[in-house]
Amino acid sequence: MDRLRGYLDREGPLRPSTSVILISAALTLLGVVMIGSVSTGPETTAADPYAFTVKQMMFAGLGILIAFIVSRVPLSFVMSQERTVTRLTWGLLVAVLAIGSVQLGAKRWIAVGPFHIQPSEIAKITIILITAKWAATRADNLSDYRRGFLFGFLAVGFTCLLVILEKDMGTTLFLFALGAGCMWAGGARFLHLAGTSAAFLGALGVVAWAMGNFDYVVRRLDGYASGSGTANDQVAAGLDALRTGGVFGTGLGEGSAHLGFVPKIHNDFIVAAVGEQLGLVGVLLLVAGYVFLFHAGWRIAESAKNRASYVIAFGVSLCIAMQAIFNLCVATGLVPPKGINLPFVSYGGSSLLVLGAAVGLLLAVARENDAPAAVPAAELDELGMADDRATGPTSLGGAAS
Amino acid sequence: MNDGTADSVSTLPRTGRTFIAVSVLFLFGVVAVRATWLSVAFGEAKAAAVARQEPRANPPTARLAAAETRPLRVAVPMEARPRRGTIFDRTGRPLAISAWKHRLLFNPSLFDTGPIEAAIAARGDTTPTASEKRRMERMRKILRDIEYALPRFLTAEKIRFDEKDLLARIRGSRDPKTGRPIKEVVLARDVSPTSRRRLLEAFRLRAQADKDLDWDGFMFDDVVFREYPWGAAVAQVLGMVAESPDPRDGGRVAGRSGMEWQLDRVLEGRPGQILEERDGLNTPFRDEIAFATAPIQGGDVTLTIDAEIQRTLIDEMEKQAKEFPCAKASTVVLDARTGDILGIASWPSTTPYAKDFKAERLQLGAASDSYEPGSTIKPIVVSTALERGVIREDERFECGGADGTEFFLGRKVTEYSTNPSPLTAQEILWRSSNVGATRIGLHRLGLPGLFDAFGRFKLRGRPGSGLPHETAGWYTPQVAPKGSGLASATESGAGVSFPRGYEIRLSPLHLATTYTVFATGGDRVAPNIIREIRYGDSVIQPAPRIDRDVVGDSAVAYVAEGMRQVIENPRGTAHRTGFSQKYTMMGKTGTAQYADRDTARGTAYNTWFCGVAPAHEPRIVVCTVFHKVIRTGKGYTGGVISAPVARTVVERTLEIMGVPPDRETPSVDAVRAPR
Repeated sequence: MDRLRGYLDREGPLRPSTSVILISAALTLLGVVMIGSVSTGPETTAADPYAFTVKQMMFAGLGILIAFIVSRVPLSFVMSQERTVTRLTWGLLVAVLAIGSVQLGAKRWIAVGPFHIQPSEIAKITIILITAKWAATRADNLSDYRRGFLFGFLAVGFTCLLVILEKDMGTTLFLFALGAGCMWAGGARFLHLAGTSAAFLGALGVVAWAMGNFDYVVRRLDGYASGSGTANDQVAAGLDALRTGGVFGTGLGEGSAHLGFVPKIHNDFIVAAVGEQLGLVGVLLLVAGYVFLFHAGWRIAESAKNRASYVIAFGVSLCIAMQAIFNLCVATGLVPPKGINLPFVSYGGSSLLVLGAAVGLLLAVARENDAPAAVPAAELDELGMADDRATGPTSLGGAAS
Repeated sequence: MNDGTADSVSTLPRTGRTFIAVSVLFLFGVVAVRATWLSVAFGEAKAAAVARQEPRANPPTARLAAAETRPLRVAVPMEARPRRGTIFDRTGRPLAISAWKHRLLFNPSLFDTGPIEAAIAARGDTTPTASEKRRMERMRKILRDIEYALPRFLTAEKIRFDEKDLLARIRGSRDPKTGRPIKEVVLARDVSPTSRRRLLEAFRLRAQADKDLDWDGFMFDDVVFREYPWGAAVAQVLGMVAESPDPRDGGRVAGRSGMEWQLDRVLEGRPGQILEERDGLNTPFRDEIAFATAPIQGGDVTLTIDAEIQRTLIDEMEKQAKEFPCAKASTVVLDARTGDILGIASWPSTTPYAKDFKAERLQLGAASDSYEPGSTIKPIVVSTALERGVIREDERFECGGADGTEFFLGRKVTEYSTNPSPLTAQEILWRSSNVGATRIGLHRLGLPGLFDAFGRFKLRGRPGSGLPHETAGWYTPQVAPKGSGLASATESGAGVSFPRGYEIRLSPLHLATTYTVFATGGDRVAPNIIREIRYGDSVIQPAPRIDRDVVGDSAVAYVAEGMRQVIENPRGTAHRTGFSQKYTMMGKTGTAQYADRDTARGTAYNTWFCGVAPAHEPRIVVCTVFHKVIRTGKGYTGGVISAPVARTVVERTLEIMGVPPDRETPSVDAVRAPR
């Protein structure tokens, strides 16, 4: 009985799940505030300057709802729906090629009423679920290339292939890196992963070249190297904003970066606004937020009860961290510009909903970790709680295999 | 917690996930370091560099080109230029007014395909990349469109331009000599604010119609235009403004000559400091302009001159100069009571900013040039001699007799017209007897007396009117400065030269000032050009500066009568030409031989007339000189050439001053002429 109570009483402010909730909420709130503070630029209309802020708040609310729902759904159910989710994602990725709407010169969105869904955002969750399922179902054959490794790799690779057909090289590489990371953490052998990845990336390159996608990439890299081109002007302006902000920033709503100076500042370059208005302090707090979020996710993963949960928690943490690192690197001029937004903070509906689902999955894993372990039947019988056996944790991987 | 089965997390190899986790943390660390570097270490140096920049409304492309160095939203301390003060004449007519106009500037280097072509050549390629080709095509397309449409826009706005020159400026993206890109050319001046607005709208519509036709590189700047409504009549007194060549002035428009130069600090005012904020597009937030220190508007200056009199001076001198060939002419009109310069001009003059503008004609010779005054010096000699008691009023002097010549210190002095009978000092004046004057000067006054006379009348030094570049009067010194190479008065025989007005150099302004002694009954009134200055809250009105009793009343009256006879007496040297039907006048003619390296003595003359009017109640002093008059059959003396100008000027000036004509019977016969 004491042991059971001990499981139930396990709580505290520093629990990983609490950290995840607090940090993601803080980051989302920061995003709403920053989008509000840059809502005077030319990308907003004078009639409704806070349209972006209101939409972001709306999607943040929806994201929280999704996170709550997903966190309450048993992981066994989620994993049982992995195939459905995968097929749906693949369907959307194919559909976007046919019926996608063009925005900013790229065909990556499907218009649903007033909203635009970006299937490649959903693909991030799908990749995590694919690798989680793979780690659980192929647990016995992970070191076997054909019966173990290749099975998961092909699913990841196929998803990436569909994304590259949208001529989105950056997201393709991001998804591939996420899939590879999840597989490595999930038990794949390094040699298998490295060799096959090299071959696959070569193949992706051929596909991209055949589609004429390379010209654009080469031009952009050329531009980055020579410091010219519109995208680099955006980066240069972003860097100026960071310099202007100094240590403590110009103050919320102050600064000039949002006055048409840094295009898409509410989206991919929100860091420029943070840096200018809140200064280095703001940027470092932002970075610290992601570090702690990754650490909390890591702790949740380490406490996972099975490989599927582990890969889900690790994958979600890695996905958020990678996205944040890439965005921050672009904003600080460390890598060539690529449209990857800052998780929770950047403006974007699809991103917030997908992040909501991701955080929900992380919390679900945490909830599962925190749930009482299966109490031996004899013990339950002794306590007169034999009927509670059914409420014990479900062995996900085992059930599936 | 984990059970050790195949599905257990504990059986997973830790290498991969640990490596990934460490990598993630490392990358976050890199980002943090980079952000710190940008914000702190590099940021401060950059901010300082940005703050140092000259703020300028750059066009978008130029701004993008300067992406690394453009100013962000910084408070730029800008100089608030005050309005340049207005200059009025004594009656309140504006003589110099400031107005703001715009210049249309263009940056042709933005459309220079040279660097792209050089880049293609540098990589050993002959075909440009798609991006390079597109950029070059866009540049050429916009340039063609500008060349086609801009002349039409300017014509529609009635802005003057030379089409050939305009197109050359638009195409001239590089300096042909240095090869450096040209970043700023002036395409049109004198663009009104309305035209500026309409041109900007035309450019905007051009870009709206075709987004590839974004006419980059056009700018307008503000330039202060100084307008001189009275043109050549007052040009030499006012001078003109132009961009200052002094780098400390930062290219501001400053007075470069005349009173514009002399009173530049007053007219300019004191610049204030504006704190102006600019947004990311470098556009100032107009509603946030605040003065750090308010500017003090330029002072308004009222001069003593009268624009109408000025015009009369120029017209009359020009008329006379056409008849009697000369190099230059100058005339000064002084208010005898206050010393106010009512008119001062030199011929030829020029109109500022006109096509035929000639800078050298802006020199006001009436104040800056000095000439030997010739016989106009004689009243000074005679009055001083009377004052010192070395001659008597009724004393008669032998003046060359029928021969008309006499030698003094071995030098031959010749009369203009012979005087067989001895003459009184008064007669010496109106007959302009050289021998008589020399006799008084050399024998009665002597050199010490002559120097005393020159000292009393302040012939050395500057008149001190407030006009710039006044020349100082000069005469051969009593003792020549050591090492100067000059002869002293004793050595040069100046005692013979001085009484006839040689070895002395005076400006017309200086001589006119000297003659105020005869207009006021003995007081010398210093000249003055400034009537009033209003600067900030202060008003400055210079008071007349008068040297009392330079010569006594009786001496002045005696000399004045002699000078009156110059005009009134039918045998006076200026009777035929200087006699006015309206006003009585007294004065003295002077004809000094002029010689220089290219001009032999006796071929050219400086012809003078210095007069006072009305004769009985003097109000004005007029002094006119024609320089380097070529001797012709029509005459070459002060009486012939200068006196008519003085007469007309006197009549016009006194009319303007509202002085009623004082000649009751405008007839020559009414004046009883002494023999």
